[in-house]
Amino acid sequence: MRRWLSRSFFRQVSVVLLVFSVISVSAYAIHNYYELRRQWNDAIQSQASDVTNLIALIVADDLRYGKTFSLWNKLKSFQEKGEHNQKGALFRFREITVLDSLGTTAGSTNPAGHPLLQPYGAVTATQTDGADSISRIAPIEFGGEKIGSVAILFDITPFKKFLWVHLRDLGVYLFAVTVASVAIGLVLAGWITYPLSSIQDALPLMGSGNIFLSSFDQRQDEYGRLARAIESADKRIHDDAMQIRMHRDTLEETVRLRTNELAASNKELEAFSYSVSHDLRAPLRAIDGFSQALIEDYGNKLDETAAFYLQRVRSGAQKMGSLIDDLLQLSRVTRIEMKYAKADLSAMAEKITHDFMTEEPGREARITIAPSLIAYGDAGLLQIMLQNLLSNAWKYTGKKSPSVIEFGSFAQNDEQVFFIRDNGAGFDMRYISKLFGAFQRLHTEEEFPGTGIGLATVQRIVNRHGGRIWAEGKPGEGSCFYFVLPQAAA
Amino acid sequence: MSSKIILLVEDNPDDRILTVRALKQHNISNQIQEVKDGQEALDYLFGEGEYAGRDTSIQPQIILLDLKLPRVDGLEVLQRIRADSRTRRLPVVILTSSNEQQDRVSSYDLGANSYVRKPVDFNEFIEAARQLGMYWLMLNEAPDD
Repeated sequence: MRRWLSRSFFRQVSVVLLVFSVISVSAYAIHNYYELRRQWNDAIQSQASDVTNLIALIVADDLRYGKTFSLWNKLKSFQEKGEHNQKGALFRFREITVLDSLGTTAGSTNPAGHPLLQPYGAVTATQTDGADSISRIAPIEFGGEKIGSVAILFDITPFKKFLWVHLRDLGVYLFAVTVASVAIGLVLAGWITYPLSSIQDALPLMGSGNIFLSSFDQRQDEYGRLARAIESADKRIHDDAMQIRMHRDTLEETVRLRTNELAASNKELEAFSYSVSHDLRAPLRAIDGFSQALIEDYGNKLDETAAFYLQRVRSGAQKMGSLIDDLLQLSRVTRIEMKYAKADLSAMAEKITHDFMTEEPGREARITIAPSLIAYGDAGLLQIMLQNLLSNAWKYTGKKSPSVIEFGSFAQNDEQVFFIRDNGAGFDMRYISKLFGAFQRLHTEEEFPGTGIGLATVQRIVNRHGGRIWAEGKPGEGSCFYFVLPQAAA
Repeated sequence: MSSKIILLVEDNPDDRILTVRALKQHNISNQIQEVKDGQEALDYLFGEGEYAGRDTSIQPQIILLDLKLPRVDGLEVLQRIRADSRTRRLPVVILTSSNEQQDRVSSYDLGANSYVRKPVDFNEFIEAARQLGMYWLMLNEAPDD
């Protein structure tokens, strides 16, 4: 039923109309019936009393003078007249009885006696009501003295019959009204809902620019306005969509062009880097190689200063070689396509520091690496990052004995913060802003050699992973580098 | 000893001189055949062009091949060497001046035997030669000059 109802507004309206009509009409009918019955009942009651009093007055004389026959005749004629005249009336006399003051029946239309009035006034009530009859008793007075009583039993079946007929007519009338109102309601509902279906049929075309609700053209009512609103919305959506499509096409073309340009410039950059790494290094090799050849082959012909100068030439060339290497690494770190995977930072750090110790076996160092430091990122880049950070720590603790380097992590605000701490040369926090800049150095070349590109590379790697890096340091006491890498998307 | 030729394919004259010097200085007495680009290397190996008529049954003991070469580049030379039955089994050591990973990967893919940093890093060269089982064939323990 609920599903049946929910499928059509028309059905819902119909049911509501029907229920409302039946309830309201029934309420009216019930009210009307009871009100009518009450009013007419009151009328019957008072008329019955009046008639009884009247008869008591009429028969008083006959009773006083014992004219029994006249009395009985009168009673009889009342009854007959009543039956005759009061056709269509609401009640009839069923029985009229007169008693004298001694309680003896003076006359009655009931041949069987006087069921209503008992001798000696046993009936004390002045009126009784039955289902289809009512009775009235009135005293008979003569000269201010009570000389008897008259009792009348009224038959009210005509009234009951009338009420029933009235109720039936009312029912028929109200049924007709209900049917008519429901019918009118349904026609109205249909009239209201019918245009909706043609609008509904048009809506799937919304945005096509093809909605023409021409059957509504002449209507100035809500439907007319709705139809015109839908038509214009359709056109506007269609036009907007066309524009958006045009913009999108242009945008796609632009993106394609830009991508091509970018790919071209990337390729150029790649070629440039390749060429730098090969061609720029070739002359350096010559400078370094021939200086070495001079020292080795003609060492005995050179004085100390000449040998020293040649040594400076060589170290200059080597320095430029490592600058080129670092620059290339910095640019490769930016270009490389990242492959995300789980990376065991502990294992990487173990291997890197092991290499340091192998290279400088005599150096006293305490290196602590927390186990199972796992990050999510590009293994190659993370390797370069750790290589740079740890080789910094190794380099700047070179003048400490022992060198203390610690790699670990702690949790902070739902993040795993990795840190690499050392007891090395440290740095002044005033220059923190220069720490991660390319070619920025906080120590002289004589103190600690370096290119100033390492930390810039580290920062780029962390940035490419969407992470953060920061540092703390104190001159002469050491430094600590912290970094956070986003966790793997679960 | 004259058949034990080392073919050095290198376009940069400085690197050529320094490489030859490094080999000589460390008592490598083999004849070192120098060629200046990929095309010349191929001509030499297959007895064509200016090397027409060369006895191609005599092939170098080892080839030191630079990657970045004019005309025909190193990778193509390597490809041609591996494609020809006469040179298929020749040991080829790539001379590299960079750490570009891509170079190493594509060289190994094409059948390079080893890598040596330019100009010949003698220790690396000895290691490569040892791996190729030619160490003693190339070292002249008693230099005659």
